Amino acid sequence: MIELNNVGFTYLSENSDESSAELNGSLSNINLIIEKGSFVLLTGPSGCGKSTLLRLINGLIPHYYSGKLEGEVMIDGEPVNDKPLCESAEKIGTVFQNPRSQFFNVDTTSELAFLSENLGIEPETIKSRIKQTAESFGINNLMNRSIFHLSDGEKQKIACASIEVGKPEIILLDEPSANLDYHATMQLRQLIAQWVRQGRTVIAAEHRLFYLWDMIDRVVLMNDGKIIKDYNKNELNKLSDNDLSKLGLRSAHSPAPTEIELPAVTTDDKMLTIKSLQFGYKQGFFTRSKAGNYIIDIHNMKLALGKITAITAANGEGKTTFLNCLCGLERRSKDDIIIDGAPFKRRNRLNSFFMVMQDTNHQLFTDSVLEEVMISLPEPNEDKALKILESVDLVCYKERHPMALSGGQKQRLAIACAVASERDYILFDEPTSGLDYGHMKEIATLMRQLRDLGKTVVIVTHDSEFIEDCCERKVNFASRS
Amino acid sequence: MLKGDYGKKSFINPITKLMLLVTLPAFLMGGLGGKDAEIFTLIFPLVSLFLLFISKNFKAGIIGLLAYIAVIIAWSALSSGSDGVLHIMLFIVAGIVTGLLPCALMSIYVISSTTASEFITGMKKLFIPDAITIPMSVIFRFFPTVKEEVHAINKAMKMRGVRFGGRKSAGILEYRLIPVLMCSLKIGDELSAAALTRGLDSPRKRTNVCDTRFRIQDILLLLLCLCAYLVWVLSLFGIHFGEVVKL
Repeated sequence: MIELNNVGFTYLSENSDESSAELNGSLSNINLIIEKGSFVLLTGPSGCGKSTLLRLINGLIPHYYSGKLEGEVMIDGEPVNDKPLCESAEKIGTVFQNPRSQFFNVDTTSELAFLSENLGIEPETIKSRIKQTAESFGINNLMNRSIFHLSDGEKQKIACASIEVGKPEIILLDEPSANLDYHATMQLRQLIAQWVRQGRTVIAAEHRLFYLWDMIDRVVLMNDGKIIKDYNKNELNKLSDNDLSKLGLRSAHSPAPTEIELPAVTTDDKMLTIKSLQFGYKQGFFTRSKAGNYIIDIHNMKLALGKITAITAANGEGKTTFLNCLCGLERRSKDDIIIDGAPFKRRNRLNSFFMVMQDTNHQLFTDSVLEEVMISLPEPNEDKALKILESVDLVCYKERHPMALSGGQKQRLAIACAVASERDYILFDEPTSGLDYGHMKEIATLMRQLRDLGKTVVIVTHDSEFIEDCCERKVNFASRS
Repeated sequence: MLKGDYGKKSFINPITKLMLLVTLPAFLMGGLGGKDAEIFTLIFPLVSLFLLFISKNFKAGIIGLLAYIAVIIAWSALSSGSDGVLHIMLFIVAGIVTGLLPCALMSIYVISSTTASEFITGMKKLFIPDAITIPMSVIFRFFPTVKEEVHAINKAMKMRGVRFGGRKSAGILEYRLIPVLMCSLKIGDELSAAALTRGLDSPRKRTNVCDTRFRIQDILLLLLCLCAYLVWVLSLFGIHFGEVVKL
């Protein structure tokens, strides 16, 4: 049993600009009892403190993140704060949001062994536990592989497996699906279902509700560092999607993105035709990619100009690579793309496409928000830059360092840069991953604004709610067609 | 798929790797033993090439081998006939390639073939405290991560038109550095938190699923290093290896 009595926590201000930008995530006056074997979902807008709550339970607060802590957190009657982290580690396993940053080892098998090795368990026992976990999670094909060659979905599976090897009683999930596509999310769901069936205590902090909804025993709704509602199973079943959106929550019943009905193009549309697009990585040092060895091999895909098109895929493979090829970033892509009856060459595409990447940290370079927009303009012009910032509601932050913005603000800044670039085609790679309902709506509105400016917007996304909200065309993508 | 045996086996033990990492620069770049140890300046580069090939790292191996051969040929063909500036330049290039390159190749081998877990176990066997071992073990993780980040950032720069020759080319270094540093810092921070929830700070004696016993190849390589040091020490006492052999 987990008990939180009158718990409050404020991050130390020296703990960087980041925490202030993430709307703090501090907590006040939290009282919560979680029974053994229950599956609890923590939800609420970004920055409401749900990750902070998980950190209190696994002991990262106060042992790693420092700040002002009040009240006490008890697990099975023992206070967490007094115990060293390694003791909590035996009982509690945590899966984090970012698949890129939760592995200490470079290969999967070492990662699975890591926890047990640290705890000094006999090598033979560890090996048999790894074997058992690999079988029950169906990940034998992922063993002995380099972490850097796995997809995000596969990485999250390894993260789940690496805590499962330690057989923890309590499992904490901190937005584990934020970077995953629909297919990978459903696979993650199966692993979580195993834990739920075995009667482990599972606590998940999530925005995306649909993949967990039918398994949850209880939902704790948070806002501004406080618990504002606590729903039990019966009350949950009565909530409609409409009620959820009024609470600022995502839908509980999303269809698979590939099943949403939207036309790919209509007869009235002007369009860009991808007659063929092929791309293969170099296989090794000597071997070049051969035909039939392509990662991407697409024929006759049509995209409507001046519309918002969603690109969805049953399986996330190759979507990002496809976007890279489309906007001309991949020198080795072989393509035949036609616009207005003439070929659209790679060099020209590089100057007509703007891509907003999934991790916007990669594309913000400068030291102020204003400067960021200025370098995107074809000719520097401060008035113009300010006007664009106003349209995305960032003028008040114009002197801020882009890295000190919150996730949603960075996204808006990247969109401002896209507008400033005055390019006609704007591509988005999963713009709503990890965003709550409110921010998702904001992005949807910006998409419509872009379209009204006459831009062609192409969005790779797995977010069904978002597609239903703002997309007008939809292309089902298969990396080989 | 199951091999029953998890954990890739390295060809040599982490301790042997550390020994080689210290010994190679000492003799190839530091010039320990001088003329007497000349034979080792030929053997050690071969060792690093051999290890690269055996770990199937052909790219680094072949590039290393070609560079090495090219410089040796150029040096022997041109050094006698040249003088002045050309001679000095050749001397510098040859020095870098014959001294630095084998050491770099050995580092590539060690970093690409050692798991963090093996490394930690090796360091523990040498009684090196955690305060040194743990931060160093992150290196194995860090290089590939930074490489991934840099790759993504380069794409973004290209897409936003920051390239050589353009209006924005002045910022080409600064623009690259900021996101690389920021992303690396963030990843480092999250990585530490994740590792701590997986018991990294445990005071208990760490176990290891990898096989870190000494095998015949370890003993041979360690003996090789030992010989090199022996030659050096003897030369300090005025006993010269070259003359001993002649006798």
